[in-house]
Amino acid sequence: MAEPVLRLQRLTKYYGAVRAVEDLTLEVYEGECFGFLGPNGAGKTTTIGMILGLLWPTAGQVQVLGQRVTPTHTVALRQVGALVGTPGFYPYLSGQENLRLLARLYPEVDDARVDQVLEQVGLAEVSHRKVKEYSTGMKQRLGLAAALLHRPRLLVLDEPTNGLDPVGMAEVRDLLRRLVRQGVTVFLSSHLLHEVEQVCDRVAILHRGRIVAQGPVADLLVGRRDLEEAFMAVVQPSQTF
Amino acid sequence: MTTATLFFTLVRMEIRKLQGRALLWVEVGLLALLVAALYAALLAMLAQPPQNMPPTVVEEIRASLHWPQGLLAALAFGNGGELGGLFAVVLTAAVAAQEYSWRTVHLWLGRGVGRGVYLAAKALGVALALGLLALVPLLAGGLVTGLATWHDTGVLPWSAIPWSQVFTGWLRVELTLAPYAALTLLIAVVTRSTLAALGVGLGYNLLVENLAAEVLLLVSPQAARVARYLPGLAAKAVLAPLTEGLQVEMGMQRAGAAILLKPGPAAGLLLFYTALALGLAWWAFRRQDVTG
Repeated sequence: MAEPVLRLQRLTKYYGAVRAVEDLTLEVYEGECFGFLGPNGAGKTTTIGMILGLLWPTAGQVQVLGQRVTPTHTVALRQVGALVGTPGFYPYLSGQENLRLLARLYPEVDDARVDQVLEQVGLAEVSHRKVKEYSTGMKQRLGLAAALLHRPRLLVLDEPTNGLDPVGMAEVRDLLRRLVRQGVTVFLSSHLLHEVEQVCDRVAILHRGRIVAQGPVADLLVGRRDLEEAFMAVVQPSQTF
Repeated sequence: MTTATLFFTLVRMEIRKLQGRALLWVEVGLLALLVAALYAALLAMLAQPPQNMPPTVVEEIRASLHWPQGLLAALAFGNGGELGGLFAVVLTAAVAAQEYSWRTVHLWLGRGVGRGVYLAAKALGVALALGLLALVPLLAGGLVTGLATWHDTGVLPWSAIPWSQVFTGWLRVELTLAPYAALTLLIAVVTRSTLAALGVGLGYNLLVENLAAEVLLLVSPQAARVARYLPGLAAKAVLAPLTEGLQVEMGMQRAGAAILLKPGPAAGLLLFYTALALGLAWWAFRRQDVTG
């Protein structure tokens, strides 16, 4: 079997005595879209923080493209594009200037590529406006553009449709499908089950810091009406009929 | 991309970010205005000197307001124990801590930028901005004293300007700013708060250090010798060659002059404080969970 693009091995994070995530093990393979589901506070963002070398794991390890990632070993992240929560940008620079600043990290990314991703996420017309004038949805689109900028092999997205209207959400879903078809691996964290069901091949369901179910979407749907029912069955088994 | 290439790329980015920040240009303008206003006030005062001021003192002040002495005296306004220190703290706090509140630190670290190289580039970016701040009093003061010189003598004595002294003076002033900026950077990294970094930086610069120096100077001669190791008095020692011969001194008063270190050891001490604060900032940053 091919080397996974992303591998989490018994990944654990405690904040003092409080468990954020425990014993997470999963693998994501080249070209697939992997859904990372869980209710708010389940530990999704903490897990992504460890994948991106922002947080120190208490135990376990993260491997990206075969290389271990910790906050002090982040070389593999050069091939990763990420959007975590509300994306951060310099508010006094325009959207285009922010991306051009980021582009300096990648010699292969030129101004034309910056304009291309801005077009791709629908921000071309407002790219000269300062980010402080952007709405939440526009910042989210810019975050997505920043994640795509250097044509990453792995895209790590945490609630990418936050703040977007229904049309924007559909556009992002289409974009993700296109990217997966092009061979980009996507790790999509979301609490929007419908969104994940439409885009992802496999999912893991996280509840109170632990993976409670993992497998192909089709398998989880066996005997269930939709992913929402499957989800409710594993996170609230007593309330499922 | 090698670490060295990445470092210089990040430094260029820091410069770009600084260029776009209104705060830097507001500080530059404000510092220039304050220095120019102070010189203008001194010149106005000399036009009609107080009757009880001895003529020798009037002449000494007049000399310090004309080229070439005026240029060197202007530089001293930018030092760490004076206006420059306050501006350095405000700029560093904003430049370092706002990366957390804007979540832009996540942007860089999540792209495989090493923490050490990020912090080093940030520190060098701040140092370059401080270099600009150190230059402002020279330019503003130089302009006003130049105009005064030309007005009073009809010529500008370009050939009399000790350019090497001006250059080393600028480096000395920058060195005096470094420990205050490094302390502020450390607090910004540890607390991730602009307010906390500002509070500690300004509190130390305006209150704690001056108070400690005053108390130590008052307690006993032995205690006064300890005071010379404070950054403010070490800065004064580093700048002593610059202000030698000038009767108008700024900042901590002449009470401490007798116990000052020699400029060389004082410079070493300032470098040590800077390296210590940066080292602690690096240690804290490496261990930090970048959340929020």
